[in-house]
Amino acid sequence: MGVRDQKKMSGSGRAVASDAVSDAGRANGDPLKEFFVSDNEADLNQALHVGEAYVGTALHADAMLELLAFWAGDEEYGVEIVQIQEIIKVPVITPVPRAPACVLGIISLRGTIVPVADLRAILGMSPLPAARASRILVLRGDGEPVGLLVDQVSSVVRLEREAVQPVPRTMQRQAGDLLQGVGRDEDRMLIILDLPTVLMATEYVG
Amino acid sequence: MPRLMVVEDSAAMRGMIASILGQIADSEVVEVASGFEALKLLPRDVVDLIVMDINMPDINGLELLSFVRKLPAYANTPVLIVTTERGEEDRKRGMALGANGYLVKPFDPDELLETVINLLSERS
Amino acid sequence: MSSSVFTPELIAEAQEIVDALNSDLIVAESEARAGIVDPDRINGLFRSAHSLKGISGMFGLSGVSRLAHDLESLLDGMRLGKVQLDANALDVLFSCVERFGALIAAAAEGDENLEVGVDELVVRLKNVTSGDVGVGKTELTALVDLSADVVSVLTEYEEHRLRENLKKDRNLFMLRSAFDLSNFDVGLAEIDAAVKPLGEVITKLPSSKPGESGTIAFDIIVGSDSDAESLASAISDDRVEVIPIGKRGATQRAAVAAPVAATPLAPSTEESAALLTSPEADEGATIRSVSRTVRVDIRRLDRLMNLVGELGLTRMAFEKIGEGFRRLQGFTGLAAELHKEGRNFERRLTELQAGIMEVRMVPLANLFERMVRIGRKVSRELNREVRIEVSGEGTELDKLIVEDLADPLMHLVRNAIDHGIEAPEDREANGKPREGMVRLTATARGNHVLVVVSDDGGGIDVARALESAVQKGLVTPERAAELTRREVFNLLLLPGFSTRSEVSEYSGRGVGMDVVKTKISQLSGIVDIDSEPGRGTTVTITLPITLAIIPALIVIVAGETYAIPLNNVQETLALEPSLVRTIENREVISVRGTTVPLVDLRGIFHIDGKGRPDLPYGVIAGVGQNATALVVDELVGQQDIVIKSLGRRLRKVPGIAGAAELGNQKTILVIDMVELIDEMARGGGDGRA
Repeated sequence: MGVRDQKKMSGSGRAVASDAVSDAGRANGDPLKEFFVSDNEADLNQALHVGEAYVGTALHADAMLELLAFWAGDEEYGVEIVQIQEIIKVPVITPVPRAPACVLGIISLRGTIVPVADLRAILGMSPLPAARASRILVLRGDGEPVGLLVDQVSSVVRLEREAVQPVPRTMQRQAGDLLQGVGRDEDRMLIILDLPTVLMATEYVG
Repeated sequence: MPRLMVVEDSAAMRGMIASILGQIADSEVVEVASGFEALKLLPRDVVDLIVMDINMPDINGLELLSFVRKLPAYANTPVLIVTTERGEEDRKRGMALGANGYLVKPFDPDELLETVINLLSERS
Repeated sequence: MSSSVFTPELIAEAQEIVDALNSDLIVAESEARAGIVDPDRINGLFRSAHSLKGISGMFGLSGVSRLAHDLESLLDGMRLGKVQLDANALDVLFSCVERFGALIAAAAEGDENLEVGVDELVVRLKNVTSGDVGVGKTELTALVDLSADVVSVLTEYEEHRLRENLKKDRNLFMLRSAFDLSNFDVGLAEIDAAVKPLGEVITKLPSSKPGESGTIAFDIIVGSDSDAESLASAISDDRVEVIPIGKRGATQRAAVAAPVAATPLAPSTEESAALLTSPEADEGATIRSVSRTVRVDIRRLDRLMNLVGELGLTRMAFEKIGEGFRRLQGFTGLAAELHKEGRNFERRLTELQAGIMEVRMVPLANLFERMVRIGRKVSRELNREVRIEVSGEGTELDKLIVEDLADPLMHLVRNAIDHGIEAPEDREANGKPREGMVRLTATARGNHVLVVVSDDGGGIDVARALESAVQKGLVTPERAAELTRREVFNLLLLPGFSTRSEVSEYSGRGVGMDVVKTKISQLSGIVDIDSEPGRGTTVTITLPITLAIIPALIVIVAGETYAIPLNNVQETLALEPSLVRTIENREVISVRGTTVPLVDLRGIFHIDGKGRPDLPYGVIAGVGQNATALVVDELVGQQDIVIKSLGRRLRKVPGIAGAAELGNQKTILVIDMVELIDEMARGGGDGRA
C-alpha cells in the first residue's frame, strides 16, 4: 500500500550525448518534487478529473460507484470520487479556538480559506499527529471546500453499486449515521462514509 | 565544484532546469535569460558546462554556440542544446557547430541529469 | 502546500505569453489589413507559441501543450512563408489565444488536464490552407557574399528571411561593429532602431575576431531597399562599418575580410554622430523599454509592506524613549529634536508605503484587450456587427482588483452585445448605423476608478423591467409606482431578477447582473446602471484604487500569531506586574485613572502552550467603560491585511473575525475585538488568566 511506490514523469524526452548514458552518479535530491509529482497522488488527482467527466452519464451514476480508498486507523474507508476536489499533503494548519473538537484548524488553499477536520476524531478514534503518509482530502462540501485528514490514501476503486451492503450492526453502534455502507472488492472491505453527516461535525453550532 | 550555466529565456523553464542541475553534488548554477547576458558573462567567468535553448530573442543559441566555440577558454566546454521536436533542422545545425548533446522538450528530468553528469565526467 | 505542480510563476509566465500573443495578434491583424505584415511580428507570434509549448509540455499542461504544438506548426509555416496570414487564419489564431486564456485560468484553479475545445481548434489549425510560396533552394553562399561559417549559424528562419529579402530584390548588408563587452546591447539596440525604418535586421552574429579585450564584435545582416550610404547615415556611428554583401554584383569582396578597425566605408555626418554618442542619447527610449522593467512577485511587495509596518512600530518605540528623556532634566531639547526627527521619519515611511502601493498598480490595458477579444467572438457568433472601442486603458488599479474584475466585465460586455445591440437590420430601420458600438472606458477619480461599459443599443425597457420585478416579487406593485428610473434599473442587480428563461449562452450562463454586483461589492465597488430607450445602456463600476486592505496589529499569544484590526486598538502598553491588580477574581489595570479589565486569550480561547511571559503587553481596545486590555506575549508589528471569511462552517465562531495570510505563507486568525469586549460585558466568565 505504498504511497510512493510508483514513479511517473511527464513527457517523453529524448537525450543524446556523445557517449552512452549511464545511471551512475545520479543525485537523489528532492527539489524536483516541486515540478513533478512523482507520487501516485498525481494519478489519483488525475483520476479525480476523470471521475468528474463521468458525472452525468446515467450509466455510471447508476451502476458503478467510483471511490477513493484511504485508511483511518485500522479500517479502510471510501468516499465517492465526485465529492473530492483534490488531495494534498498536510500543510501547516492554523488552529481555530472554539471550533468543534474535530476541526484541526484552517489552511489556505490557493488563497481560499479551507477548514480541515480530523477524520479519526469524527469517527471517535484517538487523534494521531499527521505523519508522512497523511493526506488531506479536499472535499467539495456543497460549494465550500472542507479538508479531511486521513492516515493514508490507497487507490481508486470502482465498485458496482450492488456490491455495497448495509453497515453491519457491530459498526452501527460506534459510528451509526456516519457510514453509508460497506463495499467489497475481492478480499478488500471499504467502509463508505456518509459525507453530509460526516461534515456536519465540522460546523460550529453556537 | 562544477559551475553550470543555463541560457533560457523562459523563466519557468530556466528555473526548472536550474533546479534539476542543482541536484548535482557541489554544483553551482548560473542562470541567464538571454544570449546577450551569456555573452557578457562568459568571457569573465569560467563555467564547466552550458545548457542552452536555441530559440531565443536577440541572438539565437546557434549564434551563441558558434561564438562560445571561438573563445579559447570554451573551445571544449560541453554544450547541451535544448530544442523542441519542430527544431530538427536547427538541432542538426547545432550539432554541426559543436554541441555535445541535445535534449528535446519536453524532456525527462532524469535524462537531463544523466546527460549532464556524463558530459561532466567525460571532461574530468 | 498543495501537491499541484503548477507554481504561480509558471501560471504567470504562461499568462504573460498569452497576453503577448494577443497584443501581437491585434497588431498583426491591422498590419494584414494594411497589406504589410512585419516579419518580426510573425516571428514574435511563433516564439510565443514556441515558449508556451515548451513550458506547458514540461509542466504537463496537456491541453495547452497540444494546442500550442499545432499553433507553433502553423506559425512556423507562416514565418517560413509557407502559409499566408489571411482573415481565416487570424480568426483561428484569435480563437487559440482565447482558448489558452481559459485553459490557463483552469490550470490556475487546479484543473490542469482541461482539454475542452482543443480538438476543435487543432482541426481548424490544420485546415488553414497552405499558400503556394516557393522557397529558393540554391546554396546561400552562391547568392550572397557570406562565408559558409556565417551561413552555418543561421537558423532555418533566418535563412528564410535572407532568401525573402533576396527575392524582393533588396540590398543586403553586413554591419560590422565592435562594442564594449559591458554594454554592447545598448549599441545593438541603437543600430536596431536606426535600421528598422529602412529595412529588416535579419540576424546579429557575435564574432570573436581578435579585437581589444573587453570588446565584442558583431556582424549584423540587414536587408534594405536603401543603399549603403543612406543606411550608414541613418546609423551615423563611425564605429559601424557597412559592407554590401548582395545583390550579387554589387558586392565588394574585399570588404568581407576587412578588420573591425578598418576605416568605415560609410561617410557619417558629424553632428548626428555626436548626438548619438552623447550621454542623453544613451538613455534613448528604445533601450529604456528593453532594460528598465523588472517583474516582481506580488508577495515580495507584501513583504516590503510588512517591513514598513514593522518600522512603524520601531518608530513608536523611539517615541516612547523620547518621552522618557523629556522628563529628565537637561534632555528636554534633545527630546524635542528626537520628536521632530521622528515626525520626519514617519512622513518618509508614509511615502515609502505609498511608493510600494504604487508598484502594485497595473494598467487596465491587458484586461481591456481581453474584453475586445471576447467581444469580437461574441458578436461574430451572434451575427451582430459591433465595434468595440476602448479608452483610458492606461488607468491603473491594484493588480488584485484587476484580476477580479475580469469576470464581471466580461459579463457586461457579453450583455451589451447580446441584449443591448440590435440586429443590423433593426438598427437601420431605426436610423442607426448598422454597426453597433460598445465602449469600455476607465477614468481615475481621486481614490477611485470608474470603469464604464456602454452601448448604443436598444436600452432597457423600464416598464417591462418593472413588470418583471413585480412578477418575481422583488418589489410590491405600490412601491413599484414610486420608483425612479434609476431605482428601477438597480432592480436588475437584485438576485433573482434574471431567470433561466432569459439566459442565453453569452450573457447568461445561469447568472445575472446580481453576480456582477456581488463580485464588485467584494472589491468594495459600486455598480450603477443607466439606460435610455433606443439610445443604449451605460453600466458604471466605481472601484477603490486598492483593495480593502486594513491595517492590523500582529501579535503572538502562547505561540500563536493573531491579527487585531488597528481601528479597534486604542493603545498598547507594557504590562508591568506592578500595574496588574485583581478585583473580584478579575485582573485589571489602571490606565489614566480608569480601571480596565484584562483578557487573556489563553483563558477564553483555551490555548494550551506557553504561559504568560514575565513582561507581557496589553492591547487596549474600546473606550470608556468598554475599554478592555488584551494580554499578548509579543507585538510583532503593524501590517496591512486582507480579511478572509472562515466560511459557512466556522464563520460563527465568536471572537474571530476571519483569517488573513501573512507574507510568509502563514495563515493567521483575525481577532474580533468588538465581539470579545461584548462577551466580557455580558460576563463571559473565564477572561482571567
